[in-house]
Amino acid sequence: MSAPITLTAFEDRLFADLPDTELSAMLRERGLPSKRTETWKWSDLRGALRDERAPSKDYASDLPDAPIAVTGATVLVLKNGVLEPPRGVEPKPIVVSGEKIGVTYVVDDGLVVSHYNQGREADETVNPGDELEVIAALRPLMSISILPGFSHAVVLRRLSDGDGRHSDNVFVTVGEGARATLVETHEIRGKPFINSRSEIELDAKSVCERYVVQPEAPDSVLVHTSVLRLDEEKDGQAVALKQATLAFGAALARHENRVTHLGRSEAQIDGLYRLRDRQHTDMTSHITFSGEEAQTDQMVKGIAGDRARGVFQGKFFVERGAQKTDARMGHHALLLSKGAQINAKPELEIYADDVECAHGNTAGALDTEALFYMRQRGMSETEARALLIDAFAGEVLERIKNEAMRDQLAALFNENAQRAEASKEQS
Amino acid sequence: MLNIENLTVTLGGNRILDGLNLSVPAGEVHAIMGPNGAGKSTLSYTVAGREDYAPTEGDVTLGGESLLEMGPDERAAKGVFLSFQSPPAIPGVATMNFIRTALNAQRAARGEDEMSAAEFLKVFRGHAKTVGLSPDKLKRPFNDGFSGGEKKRMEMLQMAMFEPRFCIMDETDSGLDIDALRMVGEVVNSLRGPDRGFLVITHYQRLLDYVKPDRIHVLAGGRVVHSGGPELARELEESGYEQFASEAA
Repeated sequence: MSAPITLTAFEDRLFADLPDTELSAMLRERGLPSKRTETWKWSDLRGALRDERAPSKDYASDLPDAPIAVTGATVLVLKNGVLEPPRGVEPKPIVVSGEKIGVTYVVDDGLVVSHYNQGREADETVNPGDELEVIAALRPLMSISILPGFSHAVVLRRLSDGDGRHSDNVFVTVGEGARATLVETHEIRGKPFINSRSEIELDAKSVCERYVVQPEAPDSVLVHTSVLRLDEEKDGQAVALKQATLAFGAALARHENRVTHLGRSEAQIDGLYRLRDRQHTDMTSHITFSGEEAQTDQMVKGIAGDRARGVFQGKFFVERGAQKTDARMGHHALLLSKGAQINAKPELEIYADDVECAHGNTAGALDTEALFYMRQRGMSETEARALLIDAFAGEVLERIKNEAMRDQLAALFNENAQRAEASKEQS
Repeated sequence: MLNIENLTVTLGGNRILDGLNLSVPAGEVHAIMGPNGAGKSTLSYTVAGREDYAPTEGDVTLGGESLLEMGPDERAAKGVFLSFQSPPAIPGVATMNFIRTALNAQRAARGEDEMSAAEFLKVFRGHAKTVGLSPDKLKRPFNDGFSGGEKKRMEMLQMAMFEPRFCIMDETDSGLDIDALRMVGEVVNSLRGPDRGFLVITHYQRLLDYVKPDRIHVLAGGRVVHSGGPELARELEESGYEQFASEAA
């Protein structure tokens, strides 16, 4: 084992605040992921978080307008990692062996939100690169359960401000045969460090649409790890997940998805990022195929201008017994300036012999032939560029079948594009 | 109408256009013929304002106004239309949306009112029928999955839509069958008028059976080396460019 490293002031304080266990001892030896960590080589978390940070204070900013609205949805709000009690619902204590371990809210028929005083017990070991997820899992758990057979939409707004650090730990269960629309937003002001964790369990025959939206947060550092499990088929019905992440960058932002197909199930794990200035976004996914006949179709697209950096790391891991896996991964990026960077690493690791796995990855500039053509037809350069960028991003947005969601995500994308153009014209 | 004086364009250290002079009066159709590499496409790109084809010397004027300081979109608004030799596909951009946006951008630049969606649709459908593009094709993204011939039909459709003051047709006939050539002739002839000029770049006499030129110019070595009446096309078809290429040297 290599010699322990010198901890940064940030790490020193962060690890000191953790329960004193083997995990914290290991973290002190290893430090946070950095460019030397294989899975973080293009997202230098350690470099982005050198200075000491205290835990975040209470959220003090106004409630911003929600970037996404879903008709009839239950809106849950986390302010600097702390759950706001759902309005108009009496909490009931959760008591185990005479001890109160949390509170629960029956928000609606078939929708239960609970808040536990504790999170998971610390693991003894942690794989390099997984440190943040493990740290977030120690936080008091918030759980959202959509009970079997029910259909609910939940918007989980994570509001953050200040310059401290906070984590959250959210567990979502979509019960057997239930249908869920889950929207998670990261609405960040100031320059906090946020370590978010979502664990989502999709029980047999459930259907879930999930959207993760992160508006621009130029001064903050965000790591959001999502762990998703898709159950095996039952009564001939497969679990279906359709997910799209829309991210506009931060000083450092990582949206990581770890998906496991336990058997025949279908997942669409899409992403779209648009970055300007010196912003960064990392979309990393690790998709494990454990059972037979699972399908993943992944399409991630990114647009980077100025001196921004986009990162895509995608891995399909097909276990020995996972025959008839059908997995497709595509990442395509558009570089709008010479200073912008894209780093991409598609990976396939396959131990079954009867599978179909494909990946495609491209990065390039706007098509100059098309640009000249459009201008020859009378469009200004700005108009022509905007139309080409829209068309590029459109491929991801058009895969969203929920029209109301697609329109709102497209509107967010266009607003950001207009801001990017406006700031370009000013500079 | 279109006046080109002493136009010199250098690409990658090679002088592609070398002091070219050409004048196309309003109401006339002029054809440019010449061997491969003579600079025909360079001429069309330079007049249309492609950035990397900017001239080092000379001037191009339309109706007395110099085009050289204008961007391609400003030239388009002034009435310059280029029918591309190899039009690109623009995946993800809906055909009608593209053409209508472009048309209205030109109109806005000229201070004219936008064309309404209903009026646009009516005119568009009429021209689509003339050029022989099916409604199914027009629902696709621009030129997406189009054959070479269909792309040329799309160029003619736009030329008819935009009603430009000056049309440059860069080898519109290449890859077209007889029926399509007849359609090109129909579009050009319907647009011919006292206020409009055409520059038709071609390798072959056959297009000129449908589009009767007033003058024919031979381009070789980056300049016009010979000009004549419509009969020149047949002469070139029979004896080739060799006799004129030597004039360029």
